[in-house]
Amino acid sequence: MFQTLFLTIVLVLSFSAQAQTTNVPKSMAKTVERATNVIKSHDTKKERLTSLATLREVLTLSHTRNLGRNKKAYNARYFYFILKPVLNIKKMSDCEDTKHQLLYVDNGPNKPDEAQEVLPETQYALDLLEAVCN
Amino acid sequence: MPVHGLSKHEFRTVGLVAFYPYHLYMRFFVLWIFLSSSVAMANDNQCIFGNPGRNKHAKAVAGFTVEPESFLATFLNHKNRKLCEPHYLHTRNLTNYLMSEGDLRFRISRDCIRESMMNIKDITAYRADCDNDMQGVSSRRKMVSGRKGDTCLTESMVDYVHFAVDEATKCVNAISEYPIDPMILFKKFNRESGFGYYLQSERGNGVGQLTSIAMKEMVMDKHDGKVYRDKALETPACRNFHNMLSKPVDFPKINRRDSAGNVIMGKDGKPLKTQVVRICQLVNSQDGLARNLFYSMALFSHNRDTHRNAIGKKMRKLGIFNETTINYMTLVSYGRNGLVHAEATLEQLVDEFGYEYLETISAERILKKIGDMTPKGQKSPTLENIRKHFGEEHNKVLTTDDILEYMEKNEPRVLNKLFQLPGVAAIIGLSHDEFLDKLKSMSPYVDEIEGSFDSFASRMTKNKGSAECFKPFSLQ
Repeated sequence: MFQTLFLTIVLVLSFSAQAQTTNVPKSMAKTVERATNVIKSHDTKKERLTSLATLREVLTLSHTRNLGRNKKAYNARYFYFILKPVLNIKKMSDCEDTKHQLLYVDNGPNKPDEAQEVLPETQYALDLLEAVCN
Repeated sequence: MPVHGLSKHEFRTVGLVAFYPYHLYMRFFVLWIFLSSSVAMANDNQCIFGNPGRNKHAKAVAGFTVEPESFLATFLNHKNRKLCEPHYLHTRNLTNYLMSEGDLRFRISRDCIRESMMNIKDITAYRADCDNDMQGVSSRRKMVSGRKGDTCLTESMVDYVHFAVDEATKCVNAISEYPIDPMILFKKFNRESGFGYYLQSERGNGVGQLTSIAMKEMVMDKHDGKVYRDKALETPACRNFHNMLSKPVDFPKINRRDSAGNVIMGKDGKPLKTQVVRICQLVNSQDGLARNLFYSMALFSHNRDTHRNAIGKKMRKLGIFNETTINYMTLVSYGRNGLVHAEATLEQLVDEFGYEYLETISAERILKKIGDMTPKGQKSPTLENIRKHFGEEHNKVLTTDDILEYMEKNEPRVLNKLFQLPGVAAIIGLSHDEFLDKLKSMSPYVDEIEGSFDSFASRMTKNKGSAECFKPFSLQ
């Protein structure tokens, strides 16, 4: 009983610590994940771009409503700006350059040159990009 | 009797008196010149800290191993001709910015670079040992542990860095739309490498701690940053960099690794590859220092003015034109996802003062705002008009950016009115200290960089009496 309780506390603490460092608002992340799956399921480029346009409108609207001074509002803004280059894709030829831009912006201290791991928030953008472009 | 009327004995006596001391003095004079120059050279090339045995960089800068047509050769040529001090700063609008931007008239003093370099010993990084291969193709590196084992630093090396910083400032100012601020750059280099141009760590390479992706952005044909290199090759103020910039930057393929250092395998069972910059091209003594400084400064300018997420561009669009404020916001863009953090920080700041940042407002809301501001009797732009302006391509989705672009072309007066809203006005009205305090509380990087500079300034004041790092450029 005690062990289960202890494990739960550790898990909760580790999750909350992770949540603080990732800067990804949960609701936005869920929306993006769902949209990524929907876009993946489309067969044609046109359908994929149309779904992306819908996502762009939804996120822009939610971003507008997220105005505020607190950390939560800041995280929402930050995540929106990370996704923005992908949301703005209008044609497939933008894909390669958008990937470079995501990696360029993700670049910074404590990221070894040979490492391919990106920040979790950038990974959402890369997954969405892959769904749109592949 | 000889013609001059002296006997042989008399002639010898006169000769001894007249000529012997002359020869003696000449010998002493030549010996004195030789000894004094040797002493001066020895002083210049003596370690001011570090292990005298680890002197490859010191030897290179002393002229023992110099590649022809390298930046180091240019420096030694200038040093021998005593031309190390540049007499002017090239900018497009020198007079204008001297009149309007007092802070930008300064160059970094040698004393401050020296003091910053004296702190290299405290920086945890590899000391890259690249000078056996003067092209910088070798990537060998050595980890030096402990202060006694650090690379030997000499006065000549300080001269070299000072010369390179001056030349790079002059060059990048000449090719940038807005001048760069040496004070901001000093704070950045002081924090990141202490001007240790031979340092290499996981954070990056050399004096500006450049990374592979940053170099790709600045060098590769398909990316936007390359424009700086192209401009520099055509600019006389950058002539000392022309040889270095003409040499290709190498990006060898290596195995991809995860953060634990394990090789990542592909679906076919073979290691996945990635392209990284050749480290020694950014840290060697020949061209590495110049290449690193040029691209670090150009990268700052790129992140501020020319990148698609450039923070300076956004601030100017909002009506914030104070260069110091813009430069500090650009500092936020360093670090992972820094450009995005800068964007979010700017928006948060604007919002804090009660104003909705234009680019985040939905197209419908911004149109309503514009409608509210349009004087009675005049037509305000409608969605249909704007869609017509962009043609078929924008039939489905219209973004705020599109509306702003339309307004810029067709309704600039209304747009200006839109920009003069309370939040931006409050940022413009903040004093530098107030703005910096606000920014430090929001950006850990700016806080770190200011903290490092404070501890540098207290060391400098203790040793030299003051931390006057930024001397005016002479216009002569």
